[in-house]
Formats: sequence, structure tokens, C-alpha cells
Amino acid sequence: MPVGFDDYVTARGRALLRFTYLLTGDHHLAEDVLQEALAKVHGRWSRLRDDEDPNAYVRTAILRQYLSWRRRRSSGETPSELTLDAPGGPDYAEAVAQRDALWHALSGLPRQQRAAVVLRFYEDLDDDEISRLLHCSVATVRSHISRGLARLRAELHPVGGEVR
Amino acid sequence: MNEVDQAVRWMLTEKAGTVPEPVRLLTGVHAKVRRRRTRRRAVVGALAAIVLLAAGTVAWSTERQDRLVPAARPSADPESAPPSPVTPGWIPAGFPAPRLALDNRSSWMFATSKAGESGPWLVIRVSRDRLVPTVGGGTYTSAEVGDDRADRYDESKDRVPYRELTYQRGSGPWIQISVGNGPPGAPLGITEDDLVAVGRGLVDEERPLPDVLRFATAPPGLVMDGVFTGWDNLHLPYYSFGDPAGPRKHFLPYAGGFGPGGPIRIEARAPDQTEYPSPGVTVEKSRFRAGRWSVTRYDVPGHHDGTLYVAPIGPDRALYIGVDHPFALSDDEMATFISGISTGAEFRCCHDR
Repeated sequence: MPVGFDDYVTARGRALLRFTYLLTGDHHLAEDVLQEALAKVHGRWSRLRDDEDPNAYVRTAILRQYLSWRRRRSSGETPSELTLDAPGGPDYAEAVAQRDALWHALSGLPRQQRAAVVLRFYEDLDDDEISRLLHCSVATVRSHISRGLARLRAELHPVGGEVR
Repeated sequence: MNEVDQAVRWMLTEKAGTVPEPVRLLTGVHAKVRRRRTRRRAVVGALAAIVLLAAGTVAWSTERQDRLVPAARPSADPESAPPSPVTPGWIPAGFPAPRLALDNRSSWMFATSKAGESGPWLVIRVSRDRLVPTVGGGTYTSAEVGDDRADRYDESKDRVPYRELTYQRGSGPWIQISVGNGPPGAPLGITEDDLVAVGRGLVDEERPLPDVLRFATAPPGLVMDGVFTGWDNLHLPYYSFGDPAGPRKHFLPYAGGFGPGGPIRIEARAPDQTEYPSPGVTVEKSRFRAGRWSVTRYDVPGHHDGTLYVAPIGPDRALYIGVDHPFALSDDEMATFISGISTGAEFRCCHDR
């Protein structure tokens, strides 16, 4: 059996919460989804084999929870209202605005697309791994990521330069 | 990888960095597990007897309302501001010694500027969370800072140059060194080699925040999560207290610029440096003693601050404490908090106006 459940959650809790937050876009909802997923995993933890990767196991549980989660509350997070009147220098306002625009665009993606984008660009997983986690074909994964990126690209306006 | 991919990657990394340590996660999971067991038993019992069914249903519906994370705030911890884990060494000629600010409880900012705000500035951001390069239309390359590989970003926006290095210092904190605000069209006067030298000059030595204001205690449930004491007395001391379990926010997006801060914010100002309290706008609600100081509480209708406390601490200076409504405290709680505030050895409020 791998490491104990409590030790695992203590060691990996923040990383799991970050992953869940990127999926849900809401801190409180992320914690709720993660708790639900971990509560389901808890009962089966003792049956994990030595050669099973607990990270993949938990990640799958989180994704299932996220993809099946009913929209009980808004998943949009209000961006922080930063004061952006820098005296010259780089245009932080535009840079921050671009990231916020990307973030908002991400929240507008269908859940499967958003999950695929997060798994690719945050978890650095390849198409095969993502297809296993999302229970879909590799071609579907590529389609999700391609369409998701197309939506995000539309939100990324260049700051004094060309964005490829 | 194209720039859109990179921008998405950095945006996700940056957003992930705002997630605080989940202090109640394990407790919450075990609570859910217990609730699930209770629910199962209730359902089984309900099949056996109608009485148990009713009891089980009540318990289940009660638990349904409590499915979200336990919301209780932790007890107050009068922690002071954490020190920066690294200290600047070499700084380009002409820049005064950088002043240290606390951006949030895991992020610090050293800032210095030639000729106050009008000249080029140099900022060293230190963070236990991953830092990402600025997303923009400039040029991305890489550079070596000792044994560390740094992402380098150069941009000239409206002919005002900007240069930045972002890297992880060994396996320790993330560092972002940036310079900007040179005269339009003119070179910054700080080379890439200078930035690398600033990075190589950093030492693993803790640097405490400037000793400007001292706090004997924190407001109930909050911790100090932001400190900015200016870089040459052009700015006034500004402290922020926030929820340690809340989302981590950067309140200093760059040197000298304030973000939202926590729900309780403390500034030391001279009376002519603030628009509040203002007759006709603020409404005096109460007066009370806080140790050696007299405090007046005002409501600020329509203002997001909600409540304002003013405590004169000298003939031409006072503490101005803004409190958001959701964190409103009683006069007794505020008296305890304010009575524990004192000025430190580097207090320079209100001199340069």
C-alpha cells in the first residue's frame, strides 16, 4: 500500500487544491470539490496497490467530481481590483489585464475543454495521459485543446508586439 | 511552444500561486467521511423503522446544508511580518539602498529608485510561490544567474524601456529582478549584466521589514499580510491585515502601487493628507480609549472601507484604520488592537509632503 491517506493529503494538499482551483476558477468551490473527491478516495485508499500512482488516482477522482459537479454557485472569480497607475515602466496594467482576460476566457470554456487545457499546460501531461483521465480518445483531447486555445488566443491581445 | 501556449502556462501558474495552504483540508475531508458514514447508517436505519427514517432524513438534510468547507476563521495569531528570506547585495551605482515591502505572507519586494519616483526604478521581488515573466509583446530570451537559468524579458513600451529577469534561486525562493521607467527613447543605463549582477549579489540572509509601526496583537482571526513603508519617505506607512486562509493576493503589483490590501488597513498620515474624516461624508459613531490614545469611529456611507477609526498619535499625525464591513469588530476589540500599536525606530511619518 502506498503512503497513508492523511500523510498524502498533508503533503500534496496544496498542489491538489491548486489543480482543482484552476479547474473550477473559484477558491471555495475548489475546496469543496477537492474535499468531496478526497472523501470518496478515502474509502478506497487501503485498496490501492503498491504499483498504483496515488496522484493519478486522486487526479481522476477530482476530474470526475469537477465534471459532474452541479453548478450550485457561480464559478467566476472577481479579479482583484489592482491599482495600476505605475509611473512609466512596463505596462503592468495591460499585462495584468491580459492575464485576467485569459483567466476569464478559461472560465468560459466547456468543462472538458478547460480540463484538457489545465492538464496540458499546468500538469504538463501528454495527449495519452489526458485521454485516460478524461475517458475520451486522443483525437478528442487534441480537439479540446485546439478549440480551447483558439478561444483563449482571441483574448490575448498583443502589448506592443505581435502575438503568434 | 508559441507565445499563446506560454502565456496560458504562465497565467495558470500565476493563478495557482494565489492558492493558500489548505489548513483545514484534511479536517474537512474527515468530517465529510464521518458525515457519509452517518448518512449511510441513517439510511439503513430508515429502512428498518419509520422513526429512524425521519431522524435520518433530518440529519441528512442538515448535513446537506453543511457540505461546503467549514467556514470558521482560525483564532487570532499576533504574528508580525515575516522577514524576507534573501537580502540584496550589489546594487547598480546611483540607486539608494532598496526598501523592503511585504507583498503577501510569502512574497516580498525590494524597491529603489533614482530621483524618487521620476527616475528609473529597480525592483527585486522575492517569492515562495512561483513567479512568471511579464506577459507582453516584448522579447523573451534566457540568461544565466550563477547556476540558475533565468527567463529574460525586454520591452520598450512607448519608447520607455523595461527589462526583467525571472528565475528560481536554486531550490529556494523565486526571484524577479526588474528595471524600468527610464526617459523615453533613452537607454535604461542598466545593462543585462547589471541585472545578472544584482541576482548574483543576493545572499541567503533574512531581512526584516522596516521598523516603522509595531503591533502587539492582530485583529481577531487576521494576520499581517502586507507592509509598505515607502522607499524614501515619499509614501506613508501602510499595513494590511488579512485572513490567513483567504486567497493570497498581491497588493503591490509593482513598486509603490497598492492593490486592494486586506480587510483591515492601517496608515499613518497627517490630517491634511487624507480626505477622511470629512464633514458631510463621514458620520461620527463613537469615541473610546485605546491605551494611551483616543479613538474616534466613523461610518463612511457608500465607501467600500465601511468603518474608519482615527487615533491621533501626535500633534500632526494620526493612525487611520479602515475596516471592511464583513470584518467589523466591536469597539472593545478595536481598542485592544489599537492600544497595541506603537511607532518603531524607523517611523518617519508625515515629514515629506
